[in-house]
Amino acid sequence: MFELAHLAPNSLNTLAVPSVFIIDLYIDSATQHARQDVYIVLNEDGSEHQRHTVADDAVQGDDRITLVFTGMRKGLRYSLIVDEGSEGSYYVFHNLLLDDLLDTDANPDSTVDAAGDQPEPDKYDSMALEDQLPDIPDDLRGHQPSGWEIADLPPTEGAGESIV
Amino acid sequence: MHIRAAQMVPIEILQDDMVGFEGKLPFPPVPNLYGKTLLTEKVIWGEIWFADRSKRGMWHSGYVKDGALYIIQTAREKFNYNRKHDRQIPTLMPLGTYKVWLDAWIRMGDYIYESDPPFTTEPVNGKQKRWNPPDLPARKYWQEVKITAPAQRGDPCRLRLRSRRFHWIYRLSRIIDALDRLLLSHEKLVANVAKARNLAQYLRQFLSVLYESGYNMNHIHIEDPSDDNSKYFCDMQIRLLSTFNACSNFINYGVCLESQAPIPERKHINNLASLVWNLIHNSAFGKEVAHYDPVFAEEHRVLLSRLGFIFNRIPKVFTSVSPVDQYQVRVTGESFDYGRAFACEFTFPFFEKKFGDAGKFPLAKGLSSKPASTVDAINSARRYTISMLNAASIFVSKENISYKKMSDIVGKQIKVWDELWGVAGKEDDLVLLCDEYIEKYKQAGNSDWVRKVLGNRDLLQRDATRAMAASDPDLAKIQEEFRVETEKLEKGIEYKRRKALDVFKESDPAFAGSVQAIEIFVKWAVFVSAWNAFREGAGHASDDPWWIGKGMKAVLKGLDAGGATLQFIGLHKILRAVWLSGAAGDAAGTAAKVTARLETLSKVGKGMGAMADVGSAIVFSYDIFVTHTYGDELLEKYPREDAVSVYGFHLVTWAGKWLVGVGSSGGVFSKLPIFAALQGVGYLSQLIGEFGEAMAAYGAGEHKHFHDVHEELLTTASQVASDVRSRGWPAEFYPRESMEKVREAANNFKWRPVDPKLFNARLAPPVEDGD
Repeated sequence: MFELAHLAPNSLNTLAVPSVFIIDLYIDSATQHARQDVYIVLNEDGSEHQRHTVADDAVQGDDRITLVFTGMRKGLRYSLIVDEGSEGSYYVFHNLLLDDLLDTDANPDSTVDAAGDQPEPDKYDSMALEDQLPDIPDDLRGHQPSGWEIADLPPTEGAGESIV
Repeated sequence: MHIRAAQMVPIEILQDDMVGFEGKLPFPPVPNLYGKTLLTEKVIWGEIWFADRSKRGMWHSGYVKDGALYIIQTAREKFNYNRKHDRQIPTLMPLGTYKVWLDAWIRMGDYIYESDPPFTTEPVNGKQKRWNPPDLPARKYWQEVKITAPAQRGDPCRLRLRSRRFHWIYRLSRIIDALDRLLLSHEKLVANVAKARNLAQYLRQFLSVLYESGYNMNHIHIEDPSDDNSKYFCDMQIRLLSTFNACSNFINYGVCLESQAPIPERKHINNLASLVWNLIHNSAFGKEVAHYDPVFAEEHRVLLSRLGFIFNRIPKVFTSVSPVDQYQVRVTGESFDYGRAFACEFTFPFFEKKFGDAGKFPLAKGLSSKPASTVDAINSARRYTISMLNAASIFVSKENISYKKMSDIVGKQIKVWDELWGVAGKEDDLVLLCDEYIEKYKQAGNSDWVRKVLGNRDLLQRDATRAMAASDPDLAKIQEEFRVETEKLEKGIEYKRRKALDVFKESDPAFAGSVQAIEIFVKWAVFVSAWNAFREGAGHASDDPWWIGKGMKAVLKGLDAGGATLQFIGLHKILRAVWLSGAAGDAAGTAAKVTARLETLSKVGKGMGAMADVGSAIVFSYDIFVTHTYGDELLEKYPREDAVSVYGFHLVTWAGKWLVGVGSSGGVFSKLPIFAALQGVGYLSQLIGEFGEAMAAYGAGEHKHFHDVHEELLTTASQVASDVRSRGWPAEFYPRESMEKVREAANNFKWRPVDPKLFNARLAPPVEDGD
């Protein structure tokens, strides 16, 4: 029934298998996202597990777009990458146990670290520095073109309307 | 079983302190006008970091543009993924609890304009490179948010975030930029309307002139109002007048006719101006400007200097305008006068403070704000009210007692004391007498007194000696002789040149003690102040002349205070000795011993004081001739000629320091009055120097200040003039009153009828005689 290749070594809980795995998108089908985004679930080794586009909405007519992925198992790790075509792609999560994903979905308010939002001291200089931030790669440190060209003015300029 | 692995929603990010700003706008927002995007509570531009608090444990960083989120980097533990993209579409985020840090507008390299020059060429943080924002603070300071599913499909999840670093300035910059463009356009329009108004006015006056010109313009000077020409003429005049009024109304009130509504552009401009006005009154804005001023000093100056110009250019607008007569209109709902308010709240207080500072006596400037200055001021008072008067009092003595005479009197005094002691010195007699007295006191019931007396042999001797002197006729004779000699001595002392405090010590010891106690207190305060100044410079190199000078000063002030304290302790012993020797001849030996000790003690104290005075003079010389700090400082603060005059007085003070030092040193070894006199002259010289210096600095500061203000006003005037020229505005903008006067003068002007023959004779080309 299951392919052994998907079983985690020494894993005893692989029989509790969800039948389907769902991603809900709270977007309009007319947005740019809807037109071109591809949602790809990757296996732990980086191979593609399954992919869907917005056109694969499983439940038509409701307030969201529902993408259904199948064949995923507990005890295995997955990544979700959103490929936006010319926009590039980004990871929603990376190399996570399916168990953790289920747990997070069941308890959306659950947290694993200390609370934030403590009052700031009067002087910024007296704040402690963040020590958990992953390193920014070198190619982001320098002056990199980001698509923010002079011609592509910030939203306050070039509104296009007549001034007076 | 159906499970959801992720729910993704679009995000809209609102700037917390802009939420609800619409309530402060004077007019409803006008749609479709340039700069309308600034009337938003969304974050216009910023950098953002998300830390996922769930088991996903992801990091996202990116930027916010017009309230939309764009993630460009995702990380988790050692995994790091950078998004490459050419265009920008907002990113969706999974639901969950996050910590967020938002910097609304930071010039990080990745987001800077392509062609922006390096921000600064100055080394920042020790490196010669572009300025970068400081590192992120610890996550405990980050704001916690929950991303939840929106109520309706397509709606974003709205996150209301506090912007943490550098966010007011960018809003201010954008709004001013938009206002600049809007005002430029508006002013061009106003300039053209003003031209039309002037033309209408010139034409009307020209027609009036023609009408009044008499019979040389008979074809329009028609008395019959039913005549067509007359009607046309009147119609022209009326149309020109209404054109003039319409133009004036537009320039002043934003409407041409009373039936019209004010143009929406003016309301829009006023809305934006209101944003700026509220922004600069925000205390967070003030704190931010102060915090970033060291890094963005020039940008701040540019922005703040532009504020005044911007506010002065904000046009007025009214809710309604109705004419009163030919020249006046009545308006209601006048918009806020930003230019005037800015002048009253910012510009005038600024100049007020400048002028106030210039007009304040320099000594008083730092009294409230700087404790060290306060101590300096009190010390100056101490020097000139106590020390100088004390030393200078020597000049007011009328007669100088000769040393020979003093020596004679002292010799006689010693003789009297010797004789007295010769009688009273027999121990057996004294013991007997003491016993007799003890018994007498006991019988009188004064047991306590007896115990005290037994414990103090000096007292016993005093009473016993007094009794002996009273009972023995020979001793009484000696006593009388001593009394006479003492009176002579005291009379001599009166005329001796002495310091005022020395006189007070005998006549009013308590007062003298109080004065000296004040002096000592001030001297210790000066020492503490000098020591603090030395400690504050602890980062200086050990061979830095400035720091060495501070250290020397602190040590010397300590010496000075210590010396004064020792002398003060001596004063108390003198008081005790005076009490002990209450009657002439009593316990003279003890008194002499105490006096001898006092003399030594006094010399130590005086010596320390003298070292302090000489040292102070050396430090002063060191400052002047080695470190040059004071001179350099003067040259920076004042024009050269003013600095020289201030410095001249500084040298007078310097000379005074040396005079005090010499006088003080001499006073340790000799009681010659010349040394006290030198001290007095030295203090006087210091007073002249310091007072003169203060007055010269006051004048120089004022001179410099008025020079600066004048220059600033000239620059402002020239900027305004060039501004007006560059916009093509007519230079002759007069207030309404002036225009009315001109108009009245023009209306009342009577053109003198011209005789055509005379006209031709005077002005026509000469007619050549025909051949």
